[in-house]
Amino acid sequence: MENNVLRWSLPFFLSLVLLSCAGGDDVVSTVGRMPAVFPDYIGVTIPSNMAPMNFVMEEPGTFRLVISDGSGSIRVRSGHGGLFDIPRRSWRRMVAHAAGGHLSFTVFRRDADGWSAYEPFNMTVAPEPADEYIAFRFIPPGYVAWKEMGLYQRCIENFRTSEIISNRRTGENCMNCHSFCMQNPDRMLFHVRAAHAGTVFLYDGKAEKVNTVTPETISALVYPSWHPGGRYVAFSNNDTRQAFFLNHPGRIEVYDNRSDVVVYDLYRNTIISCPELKSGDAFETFPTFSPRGDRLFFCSASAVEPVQNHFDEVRYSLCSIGFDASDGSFGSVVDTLVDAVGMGGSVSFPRVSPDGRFLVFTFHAYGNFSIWHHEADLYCLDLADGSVRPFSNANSDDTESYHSWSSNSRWMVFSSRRDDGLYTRPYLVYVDADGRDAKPFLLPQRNPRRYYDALEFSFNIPEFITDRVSLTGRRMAEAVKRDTVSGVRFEIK
Amino acid sequence: MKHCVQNGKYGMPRVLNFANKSNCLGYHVIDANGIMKSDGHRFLDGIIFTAVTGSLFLVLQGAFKFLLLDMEGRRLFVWDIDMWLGKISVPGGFSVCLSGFIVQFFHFPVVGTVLASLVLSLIFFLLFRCAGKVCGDGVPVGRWLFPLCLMPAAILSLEMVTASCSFQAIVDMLLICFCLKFCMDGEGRISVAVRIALSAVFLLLAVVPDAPGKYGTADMRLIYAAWGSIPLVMLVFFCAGRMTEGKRIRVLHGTLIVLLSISVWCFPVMKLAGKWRRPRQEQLARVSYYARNDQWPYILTVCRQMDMNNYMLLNYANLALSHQGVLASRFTDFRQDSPKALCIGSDMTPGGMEVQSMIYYQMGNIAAAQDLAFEANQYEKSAFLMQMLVKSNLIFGAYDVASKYIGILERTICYRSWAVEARQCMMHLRNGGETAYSPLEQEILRKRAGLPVTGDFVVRDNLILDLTRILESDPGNTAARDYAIVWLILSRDATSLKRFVDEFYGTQVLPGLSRDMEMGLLAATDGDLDYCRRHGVTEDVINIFLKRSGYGK
Repeated sequence: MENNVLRWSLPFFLSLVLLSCAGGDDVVSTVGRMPAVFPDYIGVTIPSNMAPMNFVMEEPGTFRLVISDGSGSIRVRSGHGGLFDIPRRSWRRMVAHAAGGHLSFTVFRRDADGWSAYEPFNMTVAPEPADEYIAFRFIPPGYVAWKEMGLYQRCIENFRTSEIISNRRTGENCMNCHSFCMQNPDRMLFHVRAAHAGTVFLYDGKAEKVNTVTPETISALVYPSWHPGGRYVAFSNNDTRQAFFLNHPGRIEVYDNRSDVVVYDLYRNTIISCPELKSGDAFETFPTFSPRGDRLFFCSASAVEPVQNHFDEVRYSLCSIGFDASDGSFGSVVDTLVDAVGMGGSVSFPRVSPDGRFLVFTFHAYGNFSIWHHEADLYCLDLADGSVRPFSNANSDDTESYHSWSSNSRWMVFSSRRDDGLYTRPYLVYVDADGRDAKPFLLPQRNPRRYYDALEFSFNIPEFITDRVSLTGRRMAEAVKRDTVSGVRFEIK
Repeated sequence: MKHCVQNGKYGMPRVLNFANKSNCLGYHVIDANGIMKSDGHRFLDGIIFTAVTGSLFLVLQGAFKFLLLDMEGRRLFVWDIDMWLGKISVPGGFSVCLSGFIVQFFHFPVVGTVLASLVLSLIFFLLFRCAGKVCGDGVPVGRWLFPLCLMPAAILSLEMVTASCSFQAIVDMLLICFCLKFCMDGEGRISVAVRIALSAVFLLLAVVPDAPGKYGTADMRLIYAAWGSIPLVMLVFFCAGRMTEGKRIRVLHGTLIVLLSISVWCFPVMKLAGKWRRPRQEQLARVSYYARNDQWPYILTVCRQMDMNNYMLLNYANLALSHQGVLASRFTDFRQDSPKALCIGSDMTPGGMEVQSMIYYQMGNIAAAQDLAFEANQYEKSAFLMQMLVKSNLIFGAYDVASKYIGILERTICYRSWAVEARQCMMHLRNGGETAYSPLEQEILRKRAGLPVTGDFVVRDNLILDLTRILESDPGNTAARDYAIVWLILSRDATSLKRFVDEFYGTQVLPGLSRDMEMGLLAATDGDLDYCRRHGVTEDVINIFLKRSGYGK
């Protein structure tokens, strides 16, 4: 206890001394509370390779900030709008040095008679870095129409966002469901809808567009998940509908009239499935492979008819089935890992940590389109003992939905609507070796207030990747516009 | 001391030498330091420029002022440096920003027309000066060929009013002309080659269309024609400048005739554009402008002067009647034969979605209004749609989302005051204010009180279902009631009409039947007189119905 007090109070007093000495002004009083800041970075855990955690003061005044790691400090003056723009080089040195420790942030406010100090707050710097890039889609949180849309990648070590491919290169069509094989930026896929429709696979240094519609499948392939070996990709295929509420906090409900799960063999241009994944009595969706590739997790719900009138009765459980990559065959037994009906909700977006220990999924009241469910939260299934618990630190009162693991299994990026209830923003959360989640933080921006307030796009499907996607947007666009590979075969195994 | 010198005399070379040609004026003065300057004909150039600007102003103000107002109404220019930088970083983005910057001032009726005229005449004038350089010493002919320099501006104006309703191509042309002029001004320290290189780089980065949706629905043939007309004009001027004296006189005579016709071509072309342009574009621009500004009586006045054979115009007319509170009693003022006249559901163009959003909002179907405003806003960012999003989110209590849109409007010039009022309203509502202190807040609270208490889905292809639910929740919603009544009459849906009367007759929603509805009920029930009498159909109407239908024989 005494050690803790010493650990927290030392940087604080050091900050006071530093400010007093360097600024030539005296700290005359304390404010007696923590500062109101945006984003809420108070007490968060950050990776050691994070960009400067710039924030703005949510109260008027002139401020100074002292960041200290116990051995050194950075002093920052507030700029326009109360922004603390932390010097990048100093920050990088400090945060790398503080890996496994803490940073103390003390904000000072200029009053008539001198400087007043707010109570300091801390950030924990995790010893493990996060993957360097986050790939995502920028899309307005709309329903039918779109104009600008694209896949982008953001380097978390700085503020640079670059385009992977945008639809201005491809006739303003729709592109969605980007997916990477084990966070590998050079093995990815994305769908193109409307003009130049098809699924674009990028692998082995080439880009190929495939028409995945077959007479035996419900639709073109939809929600993807790569097999770790890189040869197979599991997909759902869905007959999806959406409807708008006359008056409902969720605004809109998206539901499937039918859905199945299949696996696409990239090298044989063949879609394979089995009766357990293609049942008429159940809706199967959201497949994801285990990191070893021997199991296929998916969500399954008992079918109802008509769905439009019973959409709130559809509850998806988390299931799994064996998969043999050597011959692309499935096991014969479906295990139910999370019984959604028993838990009184519905599971979507299962994602297994790369070390195979945890499976995190989105849990919400019903249906499968969690992004429009304000009650949607992240839950963690410990695959070692089968226990399920919510990510209580990461969750908020609003929607938490799509999530992705970093390659070292210690970080997750997930989309959340906690800021305004409509526009999804990427939050990063640290998950320790025991599966405990820390307090998450909003992806930093140079001026977070101005950036997020002005941005009329959602960060859709944030995915950690280990490096930037090397194939240029122009080459991808050429692949999109090229003739589609067709003649996909379908097999039941 | 000034020396008056006419080009071509005193042994001045006839070869093209931009460095020695200050402009196309034909006469220069050489001052005491021996520097050649233009003089007397600058006055004439000024007259020409003023005349062209004035003519363009008269044409635009007379025939297309509502198109310009509508153009601004369908765009939103936000003062946000990050956004500008983002746009400028895309090839062609600079001109998009510049166009947006100019168009925001079209919000003010006369200012917009003046600005548009100035930009167009600037294009003309820059081209005229460049052509003068090319013309060399054949200036007297060149001067009178000036109407040719109107060609690009005129073609782009034609494109603007017939196809895109966008100022983008005109701004691009302005930048092209600036670059052209910069290239041909070889008098400075920068050589012509460097100037050409700089201009090419600028055009590639700032003008070449790579920005998303830069030209939208523009007619690219006309844009290319305008670009192509520049070398054509230059060629004509070049040839004119190289003719001998004798030829010059002949050309002068011939040209005078041509010029007489060309000099007045602008107006007929613009009038012609009225016939070429998409059906009802000008009228639609006018009524949508009135609608955005709540000038409902004007819409009725305008619509009564038109041949109303367009569903979207009828949508606006009926909306105006509804705002006047007379939809059910006066909808027969216009010839209507389909429920589409009430709400053109299938039109998913930005304009179509905008008017539908207004209609649903008026009915009290806020969810549908919000949805359509959001979708339309994806295609065309506009202040009106943003305002609709603010209002609908305030009605639903989604204050954080409303705050975001208010923040965007606060960074505009023309809508800032509205946004400030909306923010005050939001703060008041958020803090639990129950008594409205502004008209906006009154509107929000009224609409919120009338929200349907149901988790049902919106059914857009059958208005009566949603209207029924709205009326069940808010029987005092007269706009929804009137829309329901007119929809039932126009749709000739006997089952729905009977069900509606069964449910609402004698209640606050439908204390009695209008004459049109009485007749509709008689037809819908196939002359079931007992049923009709029980539901308030008068004997007068029954007698008329019996006479017309032959049931009485």
